[in-house]
Amino acid sequence: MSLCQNRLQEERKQWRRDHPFGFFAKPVRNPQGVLDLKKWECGVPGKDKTLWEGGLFKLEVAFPDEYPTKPPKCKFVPPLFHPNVYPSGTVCLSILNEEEGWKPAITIKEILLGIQSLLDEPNPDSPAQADAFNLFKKNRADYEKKIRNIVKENPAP
Amino acid sequence: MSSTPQSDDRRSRASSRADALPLSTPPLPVSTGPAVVFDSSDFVRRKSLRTQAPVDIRLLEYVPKCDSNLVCLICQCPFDIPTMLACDHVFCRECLDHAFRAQDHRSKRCPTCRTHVDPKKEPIPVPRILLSMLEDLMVKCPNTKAGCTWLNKRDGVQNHVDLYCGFSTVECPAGDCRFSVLQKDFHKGCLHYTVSCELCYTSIMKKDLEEHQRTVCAQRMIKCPHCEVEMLRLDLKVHIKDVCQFAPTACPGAIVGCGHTCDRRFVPAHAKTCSMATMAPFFQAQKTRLDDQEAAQKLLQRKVDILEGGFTNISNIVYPTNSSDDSSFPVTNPLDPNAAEPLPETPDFRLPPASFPPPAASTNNPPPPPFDISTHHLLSLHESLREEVGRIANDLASLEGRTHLLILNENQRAKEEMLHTSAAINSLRTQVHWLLSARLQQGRASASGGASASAGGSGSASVPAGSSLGSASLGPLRRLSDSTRQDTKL
Repeated sequence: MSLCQNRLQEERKQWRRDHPFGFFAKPVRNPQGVLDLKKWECGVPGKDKTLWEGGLFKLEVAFPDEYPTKPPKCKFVPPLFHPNVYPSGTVCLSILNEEEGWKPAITIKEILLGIQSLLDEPNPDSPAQADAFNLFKKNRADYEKKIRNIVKENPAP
Repeated sequence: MSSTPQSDDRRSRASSRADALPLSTPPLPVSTGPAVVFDSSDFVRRKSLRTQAPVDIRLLEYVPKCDSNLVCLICQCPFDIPTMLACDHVFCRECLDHAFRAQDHRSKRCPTCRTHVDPKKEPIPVPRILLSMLEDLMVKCPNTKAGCTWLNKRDGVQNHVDLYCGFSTVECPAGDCRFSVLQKDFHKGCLHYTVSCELCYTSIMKKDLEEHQRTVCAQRMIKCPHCEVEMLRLDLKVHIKDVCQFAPTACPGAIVGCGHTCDRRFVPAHAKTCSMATMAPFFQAQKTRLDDQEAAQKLLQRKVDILEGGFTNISNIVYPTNSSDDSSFPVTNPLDPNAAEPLPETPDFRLPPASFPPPAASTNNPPPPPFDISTHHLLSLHESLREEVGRIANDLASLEGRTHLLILNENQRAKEEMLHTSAAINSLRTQVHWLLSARLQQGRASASGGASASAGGSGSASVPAGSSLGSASLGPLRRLSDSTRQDTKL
């Protein structure tokens, strides 16, 4: 078994043993009905006492063959309105950048918690979506209103 | 048994198809004899027929959960062949190789702190204590799901799986069978043939019969005839023998002689009043001790037999079988202390004189058998020989040392002489060169002087005469460039 598969199996074991409340993460099944450990379907809840509270935002996490040396690619499905989320839905986060903060020691739990923190604390130094970034910078009230609508569209069960 | 890559491949494919065997397969020949206990040859055969891959340390289940300080940050498993970098971060060797392979387009860096890694100096050996801690981690057998209950230190897991785990898969003992069996079932012969379940008459593979009767078979349940409890048919005997409260059970004092029988639930009450039941534990303990003593005695008996055999061999060597006409030598075995006939008085000249004289014979005290004397003599002889060999060995060692030193000294002397000789030759060479160059200079000077003198004379024939004279006296003249080059060399 490859190192990538091995590590993902270990990650799955650890996640099932212990994961933060409100989150979910599970490998998807391919058309043949077999679990594909390199593609996970995850859910990140909005942090309590923030604009994002009460929402659950789904994202796909794709792991490369070189994982854990190279970071996974996280993509909101459907794309999320957020200054640090590209129009395609891909998350722009330092710990997911191989050249910046990625370390093989970072687990799926840490990635999802990092994304949850990013939702309410956007990084203005690395904008990925012009509309969201401009709204966040110039008209905070409209930005917050937009976020509340998004949370209503993606409610936590 | 040699194994080619193709046969290994075929074997793995066959084992993966094992469950797909149709039930109509004709039964293969089965050994109907008694179950054979594993012998050493069996052991070797089973090891050679192992069909499982080597144990992957990362897939083992650790009990209790492993300390996070012993976990590799790349694979999130306890270290497998730990490797340390200069920055003190430790990883599995395979994980580190994987990380470096992914970084091949730039300089290698530590996967955790991104410190530059010098491939010439790193990786550094990890401390021995870390390796010991890893070896001491407790793990479950990889075949736990199959039913193995082994739990032990991690460094013994491969050995356990290869040799001792009954749930490891090995090739079927039948030569023509392409399936694998569990190691614990190896001695049962080939189990890959169809049988009919005697309860529900379903056709099923022999190896799956017990599992079928435990989990699938419609007729697997039965009621206990004594307590009406429903249970697996396979467990009924054990239930009646050990558990059932309504089963007729003998008094614990039955081994002493109590003939009372009642339901198991009433046995404790009877045991309180029965004196034989009170005595039974002591008798049981005595019986156990007797059995242990008998086992020990058997062991000692075997040892005695071996020793006696050894003594017989020695006596056969010391006293070869006598020819019929040789009456001067004893016929009985002189090393046998229980010999019926007394030894003849004729001395046995084949043995050297004993180390100490035998005690004086008296009418009351018959002479002791020669067993003691000859044995003592042999032992003393053996001891002296051993000492002699030791002395010779020491002498040889010292002689070797002396010889070695002599050779070294001789070599040194020869080297020094050679150096002196080469120095003398070099000095001679320089002197010869110097003399030759001086001679050449003189020759050139005289030749030039003679030429100028003859040029002043009238006869033109004197010039060649002078030149020929010069050339005759000095030999062939060198070019000027040659002579100067020689001078510069000197």
